Amino acid sequence: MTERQHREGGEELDLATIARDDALLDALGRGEPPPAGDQVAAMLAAWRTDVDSDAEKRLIRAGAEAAAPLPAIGAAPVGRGALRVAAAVIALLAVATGLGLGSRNAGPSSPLWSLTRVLYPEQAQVRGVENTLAQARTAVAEGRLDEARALLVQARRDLAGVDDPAVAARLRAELDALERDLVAAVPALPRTPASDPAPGSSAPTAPAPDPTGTAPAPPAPSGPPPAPSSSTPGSPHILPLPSLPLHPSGLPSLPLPSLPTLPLPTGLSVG
Amino acid sequence: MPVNRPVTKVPPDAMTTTIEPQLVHRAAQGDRAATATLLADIRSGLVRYCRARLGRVGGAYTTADDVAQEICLAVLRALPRYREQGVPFSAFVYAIAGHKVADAQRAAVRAASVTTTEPPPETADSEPGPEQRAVATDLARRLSDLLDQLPETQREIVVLRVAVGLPAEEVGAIVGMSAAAVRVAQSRALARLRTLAGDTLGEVAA
Repeated sequence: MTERQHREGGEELDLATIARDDALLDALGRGEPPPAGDQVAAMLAAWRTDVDSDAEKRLIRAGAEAAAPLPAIGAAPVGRGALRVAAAVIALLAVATGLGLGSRNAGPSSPLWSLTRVLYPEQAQVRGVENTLAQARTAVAEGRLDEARALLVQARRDLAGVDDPAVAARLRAELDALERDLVAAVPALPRTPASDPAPGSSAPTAPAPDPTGTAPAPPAPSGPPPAPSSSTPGSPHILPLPSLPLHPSGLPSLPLPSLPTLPLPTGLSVG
Repeated sequence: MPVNRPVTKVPPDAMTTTIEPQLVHRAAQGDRAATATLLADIRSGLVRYCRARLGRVGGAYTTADDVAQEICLAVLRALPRYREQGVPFSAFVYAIAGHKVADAQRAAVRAASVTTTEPPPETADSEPGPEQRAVATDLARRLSDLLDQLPETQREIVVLRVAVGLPAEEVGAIVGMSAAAVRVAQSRALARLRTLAGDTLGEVAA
């Protein structure tokens, strides 16, 4: 061995001391408890435990976790503040996304409808048309042909505002089918005792709900309605909307705010 | 100088001290599983190193842990450049770590010259918890203060030997000394710490 006697500032080192110190540091480095009565060894051991992340985790779990962050000196609290802001933004986003997603499928009868019209004007337009078509279908099924015709006119007008070609085509097909149903329903009425043979504009809503047995007319309340659609002739306001497939314009296009970048630790003061 | 280091020198319960050369090799080749294992092996040692070197900031080790994370990434990036040349892998890792910590300290000095020269307050005083912990934290802080009064190389050796838990041979490879020189230096450091601790006994730390 090269080291025999080392002198430095009056501190004498001999081989035994060096070997003992080496063994001590080895033990401390492994996280072993310090020998009793050695103050510096106790400090080193405490320090070793203090910087040990696992030990820290255990202690934090045992103690009050909330006590860790301290207000506002240096940049670390700024990082925490940014974290808090980020958390708030995320929470807000979650709520907004939830509301947005909820309102996306909301129909005119839903409390979220007004939100839908703001967030998803296109979606709202489609919903509106679908709603009108459903009302028209009910009207046709119940023989309120004028009302049905007016609703179809309105639906066709609203349909012009639907931009998605696939959805517009689907709605237009529905609309066309309903108009065919309407036309098909018209000849049934003149045979009713209602005086007006021209069902053009006069027939008031449900003037002749199955007067005799002459007409196998659609308004027969007992039989199954001949209307081709599945719409139930129930109350026209609680309409079972066909569950429409969400069109692929996808998730809400909310402008996601970019999260604040946390400050890099290089700008922090060191204790 | 290749150090023929028997693995048995390090007891099995000593984490992170000796990294399997094959593991490093496979990780350097791009083996994902090996890389993950390697990172897990070096991470806790790096965390302790950064905490020991940087201390608490604002009462927490958040900063030190962030730097440790940065070092992990830097090691990963540098991994393809690592060639076994008789240098233990820890020397490679802690050379990177030393640079990163020095960077963080320089940045901190710049920040401190603008804001405040006061060390950030410690949470331990206000922190509810077992008395044992308060005492331990106090001891650890006092040691940290004492370490600051050691020469740089001695301080680094103590950090690597005790906080990280590396054997003297690997510490020697990191600081560019022989293992024997490390042992002498660490003994001097201990002697100095004992003197300093005796001097500060009973004193109220300013």
